[in-house]
Amino acid sequence: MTETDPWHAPPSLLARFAGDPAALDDATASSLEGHLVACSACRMGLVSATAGSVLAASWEAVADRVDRPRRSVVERALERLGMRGGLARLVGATPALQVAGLGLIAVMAVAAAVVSRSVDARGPFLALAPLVPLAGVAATFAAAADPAGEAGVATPLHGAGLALRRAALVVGSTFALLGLAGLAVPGLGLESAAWMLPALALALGSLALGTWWRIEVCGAGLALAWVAAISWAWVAHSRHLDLGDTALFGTTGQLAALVAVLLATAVIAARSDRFATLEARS
Amino acid sequence: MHTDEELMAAVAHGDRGALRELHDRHVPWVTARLRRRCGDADAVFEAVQDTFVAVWRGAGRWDGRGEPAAWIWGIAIRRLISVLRTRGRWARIKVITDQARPDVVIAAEDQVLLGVEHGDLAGALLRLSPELRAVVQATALDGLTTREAGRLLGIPAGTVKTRMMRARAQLRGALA
Repeated sequence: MTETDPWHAPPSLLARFAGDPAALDDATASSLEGHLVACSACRMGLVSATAGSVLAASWEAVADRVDRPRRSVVERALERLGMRGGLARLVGATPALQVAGLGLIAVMAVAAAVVSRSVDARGPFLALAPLVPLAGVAATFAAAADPAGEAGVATPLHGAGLALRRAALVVGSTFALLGLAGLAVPGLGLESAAWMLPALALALGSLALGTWWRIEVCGAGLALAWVAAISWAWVAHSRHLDLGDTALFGTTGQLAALVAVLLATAVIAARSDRFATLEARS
Repeated sequence: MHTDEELMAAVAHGDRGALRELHDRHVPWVTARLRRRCGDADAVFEAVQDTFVAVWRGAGRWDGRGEPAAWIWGIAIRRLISVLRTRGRWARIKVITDQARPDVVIAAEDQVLLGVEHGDLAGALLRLSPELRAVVQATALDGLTTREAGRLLGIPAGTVKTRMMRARAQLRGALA
């Protein structure tokens, strides 16, 4: 309707529109709806027919959310996947994903640098990739890097479930990122998946050892052990960068990694109750 | 008193008071209109909240053309669909099945309104089956896409299309 249109909805019609939906037939209601979009006077008629307390309650709920910090993309995605709001907030607030992102960038950068020197990029990628999930897990539980740590201690959800879910999220997302990175590194075939078992072994190993000592310390120790193993393989491979051909990524290394994964899983399963106090200690 | 357009501009600049004013002006009609699409009062309340949170964050994206009310409604109906989808409340959606109840007498003013806005169309709309009417309401009047209408009504998009075709044919027949 235009401004020249003199028609306005009578109060009785507005009252019926605002009341029981069944009290007004669809055609009349549709007609009024069309009018309301264009007519501020009739909208104000509805406002004055609405109790102030109803508007106040609605505004309070809106204001609460407007004033609240905006939820992160990760948090919203997790909630959409069915995770409860509070849990999604805690998981989403972990800095591990940022660490994982930085790790990924480091891996890509090294790989790119190596490729630009026309040397095989596979070795450095395989050597560095397993450290990324490990760093992510360690960062998830490192008190210094965890602004959500205090909330984690205080929440009733705090416990084995939360700790393990956080770890699973970090390992899963870093694996996905590394998988994509692996596709981006030229010259990497299926055999480039050799980083996966060592990566899983390191990540789960740090969690398993973390049932005894602080996880970030265990993570650092395992990282050092991995670097030592890589250095040893590099020296044994006559200092050639193509580590993919060494025993470390061959059948022997994969079997060893598999055994480590199984061991770590068994330890985590047996001592999962320790995770209930993990964050409080770390 | 500020116009809705002025309030929208203020909200885009982070004026919380303007949002409050906009909220108070538009909540009553948006709520009443959403309640005709969904019988679940909780879901409607949540969708209305979502709408004004979205207005707060998205006021800068309003292109300044057309009625702010129409823009707000476009957000509100989609927030309702989203709320219903995340809650899995398909079962509770009220497909409007009621004709005007016989004890409700249509006032003379309403008759005028019908005459002005729809003419014979009103009668033809009321003679459609409730399923067809719901589809016409969602697509032609609420401006939803076929897919969105399907989500709102809990039916596949293909069904929305076929029902819309049937409704069109019936309306054409009734108005001929």
